[in-house]
Amino acid sequence: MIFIWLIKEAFVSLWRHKLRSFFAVVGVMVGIAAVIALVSIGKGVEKDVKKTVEGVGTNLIVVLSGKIDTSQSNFNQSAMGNPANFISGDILKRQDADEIAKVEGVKAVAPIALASGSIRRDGQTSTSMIMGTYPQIKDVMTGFSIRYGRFLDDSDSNKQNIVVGDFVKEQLFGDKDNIVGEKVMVGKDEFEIIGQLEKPKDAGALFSSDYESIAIISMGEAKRLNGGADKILRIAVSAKDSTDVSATVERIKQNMLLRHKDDEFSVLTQEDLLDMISSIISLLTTAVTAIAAISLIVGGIGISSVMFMSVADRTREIGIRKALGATSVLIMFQFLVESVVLAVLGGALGLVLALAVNEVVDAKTVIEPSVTVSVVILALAFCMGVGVLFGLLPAARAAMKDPVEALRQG
Amino acid sequence: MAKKEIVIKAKDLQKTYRLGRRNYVNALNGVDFELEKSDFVALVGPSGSGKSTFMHLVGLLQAPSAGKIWIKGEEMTKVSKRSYPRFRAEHIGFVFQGFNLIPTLTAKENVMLSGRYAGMSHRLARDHAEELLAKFGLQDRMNHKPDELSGGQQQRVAIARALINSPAIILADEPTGELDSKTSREVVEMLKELNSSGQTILIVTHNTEVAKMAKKIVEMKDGRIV
Repeated sequence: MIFIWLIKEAFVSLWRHKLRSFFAVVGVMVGIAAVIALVSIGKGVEKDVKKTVEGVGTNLIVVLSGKIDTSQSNFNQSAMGNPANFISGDILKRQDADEIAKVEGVKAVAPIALASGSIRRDGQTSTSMIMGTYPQIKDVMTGFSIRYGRFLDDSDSNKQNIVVGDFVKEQLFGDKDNIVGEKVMVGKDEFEIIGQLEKPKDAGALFSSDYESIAIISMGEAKRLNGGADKILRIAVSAKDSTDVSATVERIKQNMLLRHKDDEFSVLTQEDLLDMISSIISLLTTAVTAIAAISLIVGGIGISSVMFMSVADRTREIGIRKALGATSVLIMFQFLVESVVLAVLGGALGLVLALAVNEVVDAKTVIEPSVTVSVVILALAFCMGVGVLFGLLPAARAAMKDPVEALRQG
Repeated sequence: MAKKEIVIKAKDLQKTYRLGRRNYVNALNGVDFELEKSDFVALVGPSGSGKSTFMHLVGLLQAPSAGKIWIKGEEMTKVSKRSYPRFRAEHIGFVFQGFNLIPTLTAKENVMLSGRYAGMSHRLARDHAEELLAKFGLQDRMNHKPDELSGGQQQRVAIARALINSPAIILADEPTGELDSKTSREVVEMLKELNSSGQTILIVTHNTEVAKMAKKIVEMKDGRIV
């Protein structure tokens, strides 16, 4: 029970030097606050992305240009493959989409192409992206609900009709609610707005704006705007049966290999996409957290210097304790307990600060930071480690003091 | 006549300090000393005579350069130094000049500290500390910090702390050094009273009035007993 006595003594001693103790814990407090806030913001973003990916549809399979290795061993190194593959748009063709549609287990297929040009009206230009696709995109992906008008159908394949999200409306038409029937310019051509998109309910807050900032035209019109090139970024595929997704992926791969080399394309499921995105976010969060953790080391040095001061100030007390029968180990333990108490106090204050930061982030942004119990336990355990590590040297110095010399000082 | 129990015995005790790289100072030059149970001895002598060094050696705070020490018949120079702290806590009570109470602890906690270091349970140490402080008239000051106590009260707390483990001997180093004459007399009277109930006491003092109150005076000079 001497341990409880030592903890009590540690608190009394630290309280006696309140200001000094406070400055000692500030470093750890800031470090822990930064680490917990960044990890929880990272978790919040990851959760949001997951919600978005899960919300785009069920049994979704995506065919991309470029090779992405999603196996565990190579994933982190090559998750993105060559970024140029994603934007080249010269590998995937409409023929691929049409052939995939015939593969067993495939319910619907929709290629997605980016069309060049911008949407303009009365000298105003919208920053929205123009996407060319098949009307079947509605059967493959969710998130294309219509608020006003209608979605593209087969009759629009060669018509200059366009479906727009909220951003186009806001940027070009201001407060006007229903803009169906209005005309906009895309390149040199006039397009008629035939539908307005609804903001999808299932999308994560962070990425819901993507749905608001797109405009959709037919694949034929996109090809025309691209000067005859397909410029397909990806082909979205919906599998008929959720239990057959893996087999369908395999069949699509075999089908694609009839026209392409193995390293020209990737066939990913929603799960692969989630893993990939989670991995990237985790990697980024870890990197940023590691930088924040440096401040913990600085905090540890602060604790160490305060403990050295404490040992110097209390040399006579150390002498008294030794004269009364305290062993060197007990003296060392006493100062280590003080150092750990300082670090854990810093950690606890840091946790409170992180929760406050999270509240602000939650209130002011679309991110919902998520603090898990494991993160809190890990952070406080890390604080204890910092306390032990940086308290070791001052505690050893206290323990090694000669009692007679110590009694002469002070 | 029954043979008297020897509490402390020193034989040819020497202590040499190193000053700088090549200089050495002989603080003790072969001291032979015996202290019987229930003795009250005052060790006197000028500054630098070696009396404090002698007290540190017999108090097991330092090891001698040569010579032997027996405490309660056990030859301490043969015992591992690792066991000194526990031995000190159980058998030796210290009363220092300037009280040397720990400022962050209350009077009761200061007294309990020695008990805790000797392995006493928290409850036993607390009960014992309360009993001793009450005996010394400090029942109302138990939960006060040292800076809330007078000099005399602080020294009484220090004596209570020295007594909590019922030590074989109390070593008092200038216990009246920072007290006025009235309080000094009170403290020495307390020590005398303890001695009359069988407590062995060795006191180091400059004060001849205090020394005269001991049963026996031993004088030291140049690291020797004269």
